[in-house]
Amino acid sequence: MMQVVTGWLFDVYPNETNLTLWVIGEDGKRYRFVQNFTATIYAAGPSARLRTLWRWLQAQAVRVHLSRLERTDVFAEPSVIRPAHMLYSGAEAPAGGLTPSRLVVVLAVEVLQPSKLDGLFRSMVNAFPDLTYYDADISMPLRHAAVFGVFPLARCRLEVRGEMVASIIPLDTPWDLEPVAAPLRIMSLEPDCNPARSDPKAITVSYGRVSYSLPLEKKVPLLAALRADLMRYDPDVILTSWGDTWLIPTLMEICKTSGFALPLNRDESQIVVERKEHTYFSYGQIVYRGRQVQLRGRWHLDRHNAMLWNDYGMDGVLEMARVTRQPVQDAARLSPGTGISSMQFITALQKSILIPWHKNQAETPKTAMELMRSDMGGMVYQPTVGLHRDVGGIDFVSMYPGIMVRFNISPEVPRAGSDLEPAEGEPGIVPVTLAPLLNKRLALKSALLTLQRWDCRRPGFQALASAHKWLLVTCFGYLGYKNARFGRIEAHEAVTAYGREALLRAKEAAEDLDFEILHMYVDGLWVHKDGCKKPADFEALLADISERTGLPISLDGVYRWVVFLPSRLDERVPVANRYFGVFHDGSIKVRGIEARRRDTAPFIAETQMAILEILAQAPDADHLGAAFLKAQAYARKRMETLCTGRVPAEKLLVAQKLSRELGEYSSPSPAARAVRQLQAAGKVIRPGQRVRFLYTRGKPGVRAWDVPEPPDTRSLDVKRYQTLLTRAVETVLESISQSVNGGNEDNQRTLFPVKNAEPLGEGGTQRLDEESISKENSFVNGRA
Amino acid sequence: MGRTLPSAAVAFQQEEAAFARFRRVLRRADQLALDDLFVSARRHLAAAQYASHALPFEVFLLAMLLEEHKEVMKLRERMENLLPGEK
Amino acid sequence: MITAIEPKAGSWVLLVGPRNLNSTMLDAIAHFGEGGSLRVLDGGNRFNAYKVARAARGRPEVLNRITVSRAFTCYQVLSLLESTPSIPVPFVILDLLSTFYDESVQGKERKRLLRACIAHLKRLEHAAGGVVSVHPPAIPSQTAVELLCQLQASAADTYFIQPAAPAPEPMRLF
Repeated sequence: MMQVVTGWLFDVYPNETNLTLWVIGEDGKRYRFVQNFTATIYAAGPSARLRTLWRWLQAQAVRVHLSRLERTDVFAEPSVIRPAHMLYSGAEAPAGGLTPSRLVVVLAVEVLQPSKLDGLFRSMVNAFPDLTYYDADISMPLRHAAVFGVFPLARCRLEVRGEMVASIIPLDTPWDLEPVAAPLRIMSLEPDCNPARSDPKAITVSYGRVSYSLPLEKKVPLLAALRADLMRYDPDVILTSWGDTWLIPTLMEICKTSGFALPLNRDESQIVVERKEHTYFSYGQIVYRGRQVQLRGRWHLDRHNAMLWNDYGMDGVLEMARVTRQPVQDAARLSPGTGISSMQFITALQKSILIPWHKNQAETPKTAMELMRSDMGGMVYQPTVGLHRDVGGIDFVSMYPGIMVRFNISPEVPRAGSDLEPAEGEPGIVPVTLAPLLNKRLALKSALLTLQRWDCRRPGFQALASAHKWLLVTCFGYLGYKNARFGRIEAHEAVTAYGREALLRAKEAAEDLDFEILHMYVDGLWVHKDGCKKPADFEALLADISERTGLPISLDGVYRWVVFLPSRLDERVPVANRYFGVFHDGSIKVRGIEARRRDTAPFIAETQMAILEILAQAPDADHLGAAFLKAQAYARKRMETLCTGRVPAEKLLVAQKLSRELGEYSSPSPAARAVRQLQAAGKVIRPGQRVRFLYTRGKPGVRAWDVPEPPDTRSLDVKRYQTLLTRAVETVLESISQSVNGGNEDNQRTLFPVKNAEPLGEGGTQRLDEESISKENSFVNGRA
Repeated sequence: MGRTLPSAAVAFQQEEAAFARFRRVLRRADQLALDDLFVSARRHLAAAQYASHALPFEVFLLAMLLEEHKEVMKLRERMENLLPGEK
Repeated sequence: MITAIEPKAGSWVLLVGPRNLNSTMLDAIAHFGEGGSLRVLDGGNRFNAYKVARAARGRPEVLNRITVSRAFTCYQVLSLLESTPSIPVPFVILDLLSTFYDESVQGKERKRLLRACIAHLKRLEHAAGGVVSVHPPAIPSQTAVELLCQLQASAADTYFIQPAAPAPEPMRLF
């Protein structure tokens, strides 16, 4: 008997025979259904080999349905295919010629039980390593999403017979701005302290209006209480701190030793999925991925192991899942690069375009001259150093993704010239994938502009905007990524070429209107013209740029004043991405200085930001003198606080990444020395992880923070912190002082009575790692 | 990420380093003047990059010359203001 | 010295040396480009066009005769060789094994790919010959050694270039 269920799609995963679907019904019930589903892998190669593969597959235990098809491989050599009826009728080719196609002959292997696909594929590759495979490593939830147009938390209408799904139809799309939200039940589990630092004694359980603490030493009552909560409240989400790395594994261990079971999975026929930690290289950097625990029928999300949680929280994670179609537990943990990749797979699956298993595409040959012309990144100017008044900050809106969409840049689309004209023909996979995301981002930005500051929808929208921003920022890098299936270095280079051209046209437009160019950086420029102070004064320029380039552009704001900083090493040399300024509305923009770097001690970062806040109070650049004196006084007070030992140790913590294995250091960095101490205390730190420490006097010069014994504050290397503080303060005040004192050297007094300029030694000149450069600036792919 | 060609900034450093032996023999005052020339060329790294010239040093020389000429123009203007009537 | 090694039709030559061998290779590429067209396959992201340009004294006629393609994974190296036609233009492959040291691809698979690559080198050597450079891996491994042996077995000649110890400048009195 057919039933109709309306609700939100919550979880999709393979079971022994088909797929399990969990749905949160509109009626509040949590439904578990199953759905028949098949998944297909394709193999291409010499006909004789494919015949052998056919026979081999028929002999395997896994049930498959085999067929011989033609499918599009966008990277295949184009071949002219005559329509079948013309082959038989002997008719002549039509006058306009035949469309070159990229069809390849493939053996389609339709696997009838989804859970068997991975195993079968591994055996196939082992036996036939020479063949070319497609659609081989696409996860089931993604395949399901492509076929039915659904996605995590999609509102759906299902027709079911008993527990079997007959049909599933989405009622909304990933691109809706304000979809009807699912009523998620969230249970939070928190240890009472950071397990990396010390041993937790209790776990706090919270859900609805309930919140209480469970001591860890009473194991059986702990499990009993949790079990009762899980069964009574039946949460959809278990939200933890350190759940991946400590909490859930610890609970599972307790269950094993006490013989008591916890219904962590809603689906008790499935095991809890555990993934080990690992470290890998990416773009010359070491990335560390901690261990993970995922549930079935419920989501486990760990705040501390979720990419970018601090940036956009749960709302952002749900939006990532929605838009990339990845299951929520994956979307929370995986990088935006994987997100972009998933989106491209969906596009390819829906257009019946084969997804290569390995990215084979190598570069088409260029002459050495052509390489010199194309192997460049975004255009980065050297700014006019110093303080400037009434500066318009102009940015192209999502420049690189915008270029990819507008000019149809995609690995499989033949390039037009570099004259800012779209490439002809069908939109390629990359623009088709990005366009709806870009549109949603633009719609969201417009919506945010119209919302009042106190509108309760703002935080939610901002979380969505953050998620979109990360995806869009990544998609460009992904285009050039060596392992990206739909990536291609020529496309990547075309995007930067168009970007440089657009920026140059913007410059020309500005100069034609008598604006002075103070700085340019990949997708933005800073301009000044006497008399132009209000946003309206820049309208004509924006319109002109938009017309000349075909790309949307907007005014970030008009700065009351902005300072472009010189190089630390030589103040005659400009530096492209270190500046700070105050907009006319009083808001502050900061790039590249200590306050923005992740390894700066909080006390120093806060001092620098507070100084900027003080300077921001001056109504305009001419009145900076008074603010400058106030800032100086504040800085002196902060220095005194430091010297008299009244700064709490946490505020002096420096957090640096360990860049290699300890054994690989010829002379260990401060981070490496701190890691040695942690190792002595039994903690393991892998390359790519950040370690927190204090600078101490004498050897070894550092004191790791996350060791059991509290540090001896008398051993703090106060001089070193003084130097760091002086530097941070001078970064901001030096240039203001020059402007306030009219560049008169005699009027420049030393900031602090005692000169604290001591060389810092190794680690003192801190290399900017990619993360401490602002996210917007991650367009730049040049080497430092 | 596929960047093979050194950036203009790196190419500049390499060119500057290539003249280290020349610089060493100069008198100290001359060394400082030479340093000034290199610093002035650094203002135009973006243009050097975009120029995609096969021999970057030629572009850096042009940038140095450009800055020198700007200096000359500035001085000329000041001279004309100080000594009006002289053409 | 390296530039004395010229590509000869009918065979290809293997050069094994430390990473700073690359500089000499780029000089050699400029030198070969003086004499005619050249195809470069860059297997390790080492083709510093500026160095080649300097060695060629910036002459566009030389630089336009040198074509280069880059491969960033071992699959791409094979793909590159597969798509290179056998025409009478010599080839230079820079740092062929660099992408083969990537341990995210199984050793067995890397060896299979290299075998296929070597078959293409045999195909391409007939027309005008070529030179292949390799450097040892940052982290030594058994697979790396085996890959090198595979290559050596197919090369007409293998030259091992020793890292030059920096000679202290003797003080000259006269």
